[in-house]
Amino acid sequence: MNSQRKIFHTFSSQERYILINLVEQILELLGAPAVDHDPLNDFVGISSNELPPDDPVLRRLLPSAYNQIQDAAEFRRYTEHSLREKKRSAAHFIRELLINEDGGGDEIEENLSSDPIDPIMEEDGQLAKGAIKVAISESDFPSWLSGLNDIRLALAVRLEIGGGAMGDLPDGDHRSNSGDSFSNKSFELMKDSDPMKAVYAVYNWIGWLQEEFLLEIETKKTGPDL
Amino acid sequence: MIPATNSRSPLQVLENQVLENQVLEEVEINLERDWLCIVWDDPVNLMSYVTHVFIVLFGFSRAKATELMMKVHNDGKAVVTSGSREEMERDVARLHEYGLWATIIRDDQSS
Repeated sequence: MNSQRKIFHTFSSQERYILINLVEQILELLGAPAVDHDPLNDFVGISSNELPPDDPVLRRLLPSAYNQIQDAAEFRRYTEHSLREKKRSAAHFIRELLINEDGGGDEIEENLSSDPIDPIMEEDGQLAKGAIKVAISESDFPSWLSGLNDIRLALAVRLEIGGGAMGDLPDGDHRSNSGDSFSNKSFELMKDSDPMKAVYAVYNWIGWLQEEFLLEIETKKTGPDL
Repeated sequence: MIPATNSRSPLQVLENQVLENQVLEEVEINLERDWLCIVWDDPVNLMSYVTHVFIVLFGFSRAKATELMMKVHNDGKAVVTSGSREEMERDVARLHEYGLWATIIRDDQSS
């Protein structure tokens, strides 16, 4: 009985390359070994981390659950390990999906081009070299959506969207969006040579991807099963 | 903890009594349904994504999820669930998995 809904999407080799690269960076960040590494604690899911991570990206991905430092520390001690694992597994899911589809990982190196003109389809309607069509099952929607979101959160921290204070303990005041150091307007004002402009473009693209999937998930709900 | 000796002074007995009462009080506090799970606005998460997460995690109707999302967006934060401390910790953990920025507070702090 396989009535699971599926969502399809085609990625060009360049899009694929960018996503794999970003997701591997997330994995590297999340995988930083704990200082006091205790195998037994790993097993029971307790980490020795009580303080928020130093890296601002990790601080956003693994935020504090309480304003009070003591409560936050205790909660982190018992939950951070499993949160890290969940985020790692979402990132792995995206990586595997983009690497493995239609062929083994061996072909990737030569298939992934950095050609700026990078079509998805050839003129004869075949997939272009290095492009893939992925199928995401309903049970994988959470991994796919939260994994993409983690990438966006990470890029936003690096781009200092929100003034770089995201994930730090809220002070109870509404921080208005006027504190954003980025907007579409400032994007247009950025010089083409600014390396952050490309990062910002990727950030926007992943937001667009998320919207596309959400739209499709919502419309498929009422539509017929595939 | 195990007492080192069986002979207890009246003061120790009193101390133990006080401790026991404290423990009981804490248990009661934790069972009270006056903990809140707050979602904070951030300039990154898409409105459609936040709405989707509320529907998927809490089974809210689209209308309720959208209303809550708008409250987060306009007011900077919104209470999304309330209940025992354990329930709220579970909710916050699930929200963090989805990358939403959520915290837990006691009800009396919210005003």
